[in-house]
Amino acid sequence: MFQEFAGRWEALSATAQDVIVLCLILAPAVLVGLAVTFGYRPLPLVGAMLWRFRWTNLMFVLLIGTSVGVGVGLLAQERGLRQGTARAADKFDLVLTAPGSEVTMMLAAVYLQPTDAPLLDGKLFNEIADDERVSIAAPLAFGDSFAGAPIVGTSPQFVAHLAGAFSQGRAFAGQYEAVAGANAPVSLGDQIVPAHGFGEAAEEDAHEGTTYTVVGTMNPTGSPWDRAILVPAEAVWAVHGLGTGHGPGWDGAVGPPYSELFFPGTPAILVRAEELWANYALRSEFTRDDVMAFFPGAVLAQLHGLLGDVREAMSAIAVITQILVTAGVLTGLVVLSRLYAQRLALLRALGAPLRFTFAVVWSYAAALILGGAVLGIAVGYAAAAVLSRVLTARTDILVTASLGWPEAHLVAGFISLTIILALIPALSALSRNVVRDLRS
Amino acid sequence: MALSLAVDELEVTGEGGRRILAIEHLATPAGSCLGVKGPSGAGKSTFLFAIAGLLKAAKGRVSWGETEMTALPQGARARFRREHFGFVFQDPLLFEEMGASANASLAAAFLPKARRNGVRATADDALRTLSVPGGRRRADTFSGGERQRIALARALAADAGVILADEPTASLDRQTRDRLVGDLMELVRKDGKSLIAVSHDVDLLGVMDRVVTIENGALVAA
Repeated sequence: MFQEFAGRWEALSATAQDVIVLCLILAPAVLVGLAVTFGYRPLPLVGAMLWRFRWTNLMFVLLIGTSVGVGVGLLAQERGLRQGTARAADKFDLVLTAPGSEVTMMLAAVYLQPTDAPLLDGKLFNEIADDERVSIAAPLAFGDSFAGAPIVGTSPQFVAHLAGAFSQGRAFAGQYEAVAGANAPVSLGDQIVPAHGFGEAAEEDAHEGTTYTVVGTMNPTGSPWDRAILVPAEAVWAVHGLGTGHGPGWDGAVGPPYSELFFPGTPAILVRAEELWANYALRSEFTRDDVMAFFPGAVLAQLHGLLGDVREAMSAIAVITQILVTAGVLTGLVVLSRLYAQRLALLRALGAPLRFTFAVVWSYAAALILGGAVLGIAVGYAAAAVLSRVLTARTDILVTASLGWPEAHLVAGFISLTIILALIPALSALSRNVVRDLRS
Repeated sequence: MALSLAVDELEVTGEGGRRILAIEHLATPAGSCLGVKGPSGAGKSTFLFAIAGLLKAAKGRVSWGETEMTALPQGARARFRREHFGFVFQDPLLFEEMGASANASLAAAFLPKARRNGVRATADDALRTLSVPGGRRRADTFSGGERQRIALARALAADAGVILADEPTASLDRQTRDRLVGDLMELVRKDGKSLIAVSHDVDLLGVMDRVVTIENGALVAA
């Protein structure tokens, strides 16, 4: 029976499952609403009550909206960041570096975070580059920058692999030609002098006399590489006095093959295999004493797994915060209901059933909760959009946070729980002394 | 339908069991108008709330027609009130953000669906008779006299046989008071309703069929 149900559930599309879960979460609220208001028309009175103390009610809605918005925004942002970082690592199938921390080297190779790393030699580079299972083996040489943008030495094959077609110009062909990421602070035709190092420690005049000409601009990739300036690895080696990576008689054509003897070394090599399975074999074969091979996607998944616990904690805190705020608001409603006490007493004097008076107070509280929840979705969406822009600007990782089913489920859960909690002020209103309220 | 009232050995107690009302016997026929007077704090409003079933009697009986109100549970007392009573208080107790018509037909919000249109029609008729403009004009924009007439229309809307009025003219000026008294009596007499009005207003008491006095929670003259 259970297996049959599980099978049918699995057969449903993800959207259908999400819709069903949403309906199930909302069901308690809908059932309570129907049970409380069935047969009555409390809405005109609720509308009058809402308008009567509109500024106080608006304050309650803002409070609920803010707390819901924080929860929704956090969830959406976390997912957007996860997707953004995964997308940024998408082009990096396998990375080879000197043995050390996979996380550190992933941050350096994929996210262009500055780091000091030991170099891999030419013998090792050619070993991987000459492997028949490998389609691309590209050196990634870091260390220089221009106007805060990293300059990375690599091969034309990597440029084509990273960005595909160019938005302007072409790939570099000469030793001192450069191509710019979509958001790099240079334009086609600019001539730039590289600085040695990054940020405030960069030595602006260390490479005086070296000039790169920007010959192309890449399409956006949604990764930190959009701010990078890519140049031939030969140029990076040459400006550091390490030769060109090619032996005597080099014809000036940039890119592999490099001379094993004259290869100065590279902190990282991006590898792309012809077949997916080959990546696993290569990772196994190139994980040894002198080299480390790792999948950035797998390292990222591990990081996301660790952050997943934080995400769960953040979600729980967000829900608890929402419930606390709503509990505060509902307590406020108990107090606020005293302002309506005389009108509610009038209803009871006129013979209104207890359930009708109950329905009026409950519907009033439910209207505030629903208003707050709707506002919260808008606040969460806006907060996620703003945070995405800030994060994208600061990390160059394209973070696109949009509201999805997890947020819908969170808001639905909040609505269901708090709408049931709203029974408390409604019950509280019924316990008041009718005659005393009529005389007040 | 107008109802007769019979009160026997009614006692209502307040906090700490203190006796605040003791009526040995009082009876009024259906369709009659009873005025209740007495000094402030004498127990007139307590009497009105007690016979309406809003205050629980410590002992004794309140009967409306064949129904002994004091024997009914809370829900049944509420049902009896909505079927038979209309109220007018010193304060009109309107929902200020609603219009005159919505206030007058307030009972339509909780009465069975089959009765709602009838309540609305009766309320609008009463408003027209009382010369109160209906529509969506908010209640808080009406004058004091108009607001009290909206409350009177509300009392009449559910076709109640008994009107219970607690100082209905106390907050009105002389001219408005005279008009309200005239309207109230005309509508009550026309439909043969019972009226029990607690008041200090000699003009209102003057048009009642009978006036009783309550002092210190007891009936002193009948």
